[in-house]
Amino acid sequence: MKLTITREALLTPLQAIAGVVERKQTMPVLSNVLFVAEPDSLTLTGTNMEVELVAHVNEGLAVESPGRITIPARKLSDICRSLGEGTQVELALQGDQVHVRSGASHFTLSTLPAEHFPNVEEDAESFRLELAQADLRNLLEATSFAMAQQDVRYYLNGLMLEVGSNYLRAVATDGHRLAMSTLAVVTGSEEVRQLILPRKGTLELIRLLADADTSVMLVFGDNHLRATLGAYTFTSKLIEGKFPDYNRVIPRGGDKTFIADRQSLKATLQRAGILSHENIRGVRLQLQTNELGVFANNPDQEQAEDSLPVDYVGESLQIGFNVGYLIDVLNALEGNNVRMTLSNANSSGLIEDVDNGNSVYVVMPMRL
Amino acid sequence: MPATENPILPWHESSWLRVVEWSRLDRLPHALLLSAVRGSGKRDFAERLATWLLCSNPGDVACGECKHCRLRAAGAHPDIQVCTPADSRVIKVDQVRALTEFLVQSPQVAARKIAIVDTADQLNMNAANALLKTLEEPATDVNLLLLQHAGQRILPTLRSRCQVLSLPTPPIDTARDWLLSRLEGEEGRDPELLDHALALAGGAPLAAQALIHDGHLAAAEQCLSALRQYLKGQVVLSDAVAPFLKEGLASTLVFMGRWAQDLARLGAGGHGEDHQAHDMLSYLAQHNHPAEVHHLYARIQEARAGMTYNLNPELEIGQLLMAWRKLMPRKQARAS
Repeated sequence: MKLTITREALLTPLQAIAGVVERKQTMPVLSNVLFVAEPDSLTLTGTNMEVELVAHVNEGLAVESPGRITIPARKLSDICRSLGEGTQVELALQGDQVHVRSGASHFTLSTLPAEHFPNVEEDAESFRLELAQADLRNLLEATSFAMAQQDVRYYLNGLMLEVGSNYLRAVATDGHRLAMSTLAVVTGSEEVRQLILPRKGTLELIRLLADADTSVMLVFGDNHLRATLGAYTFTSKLIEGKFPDYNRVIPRGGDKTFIADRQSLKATLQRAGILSHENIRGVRLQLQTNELGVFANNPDQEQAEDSLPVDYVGESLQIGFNVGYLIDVLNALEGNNVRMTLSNANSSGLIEDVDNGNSVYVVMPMRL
Repeated sequence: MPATENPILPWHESSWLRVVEWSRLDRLPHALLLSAVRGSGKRDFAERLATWLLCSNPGDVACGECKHCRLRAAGAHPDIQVCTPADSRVIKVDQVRALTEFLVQSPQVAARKIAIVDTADQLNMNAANALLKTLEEPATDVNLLLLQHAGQRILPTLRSRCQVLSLPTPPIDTARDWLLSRLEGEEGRDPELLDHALALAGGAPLAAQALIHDGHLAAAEQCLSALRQYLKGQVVLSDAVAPFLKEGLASTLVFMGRWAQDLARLGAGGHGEDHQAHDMLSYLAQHNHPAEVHHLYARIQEARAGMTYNLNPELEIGQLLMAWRKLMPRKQARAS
């Protein structure tokens, strides 16, 4: 393999891939990036056993002789970064070492054979869907915070994506709160499909998605979810298991609905939350006509009392919540006003945006 | 690392064919407990089985050509994880949790995922419990291979969730032939030496090979002579402990286990396997009731089970030596 490439054309994909590759790898080949040079294109692949990122390069590139090899990802990326801007980089494989030359600089890196690299082959795909990157990103950002972490209910340690004939939905829950966001999109899917994207894969995918209208192609496979965006192809493993029926979790028939300004509700909760119990983080909400009182106390007998005006007419109600869960929801929402629907002190609360019903959030109450 | 390029160990052949047959009939259990004597090649069997299960066109053995076989040969297959004690003698709960996470995700490149636990008797209590759930209800594309040193205790709830496959220890002739072929062109092919190594290793050829390669045989002799001198009262306990301590508690228990077994055999009118210890052991056998000998053997087994915890090797070896000393006839003991 021998090729010449501009520094920038190599550095950008290399840094994206080095972000996927973990520093601490159990297998040496996983800290390497796979180079596949074809006569007029170059493909770089990095993996950490859970997610794989492939970058295609075909500009600023001249391949003298094609070939396949794996090269240490971080070292090569550090070398490229340290080279001057706009310089040409030559990569040449000699024996089992690769020579990197640029101007007067010359580096020799060790390699491992390409067939030792566990790259994912194309799955039997079952379904594909194209949508705007920003839409997918919003969907994931609206829900991913509620994913469980290292829960024994392993199917909760990820994000569930569901495709119906006219929607794409993301749901995440850790058993205490649930986030669901739906995007109206004609998918052409005749059946309802579900998959669970693991936590790590979800977070990596969000990082890759641009906040722009450029499109992303999602491919649902048996064992993988693949996302093609621009020059990158992202592949994640899936969690094998059945996601709980989220429809049963969403409370219906709450009769005490109030509307509050999102920012001031958040600020009030944050203030009161300072004096809540460090671990339990419970706050008590006192809902009465046009006023929401927020109370917190901790084992040191310290107390916080706060209140804010809300839009509410009806019976008064006292209910406890984990303040962290409420603040997470208020951070994920974007509109000015939020609506919260409650029924009694033992039933979960439903929070959504007043103007935009795409995302709904369920928070379980606490007994205080 | 996977040893696919080497032929299967001859004494595993029939077990191998059995597993292959199970798989053909789609009756391969999701969890196999491979039980065999320490050093008889369990891990080799498990690694080989893993490669075979991952291979995309397996015959009676893995093809060695496909992507999976190549990745296995490079030690880079992403769909197999091996759980083995890291920097301690036990497998900890965090290792099992990581394994569980791996097992609930879809495979990366292969059609299934494989976990090897080497060995199941080294799982600490929390780790063993953490494995139970996975063992009971793994995903359909999971194969769990648990290894167990024969005679070592494992949690009954673990055992009951696995199908047990006992791998045989080879007959002495097979073991000797195998050792000879392995030691081709090396020093130490002296048949007496081989037999001695095999005797010390309880007939387990890989363990015997390790004994020969690492120069443990000479050390075993030193240990034997230290024991002999201590029994006769010629050296003090701390001096007798020294050569054992140098070999480590694990080897000490292997050596002592062998001698105690020989002692029991001699007491029952049989023959010992370790000829070098013969005189000492037959003397002890003449002067002790078999129950005493079994008591000593139980004591050694207990120490082996205790090894999973943090025993102080020096104290433990000292206590075992004192247990041996108790077998000496009283007059002799007083005379020293």
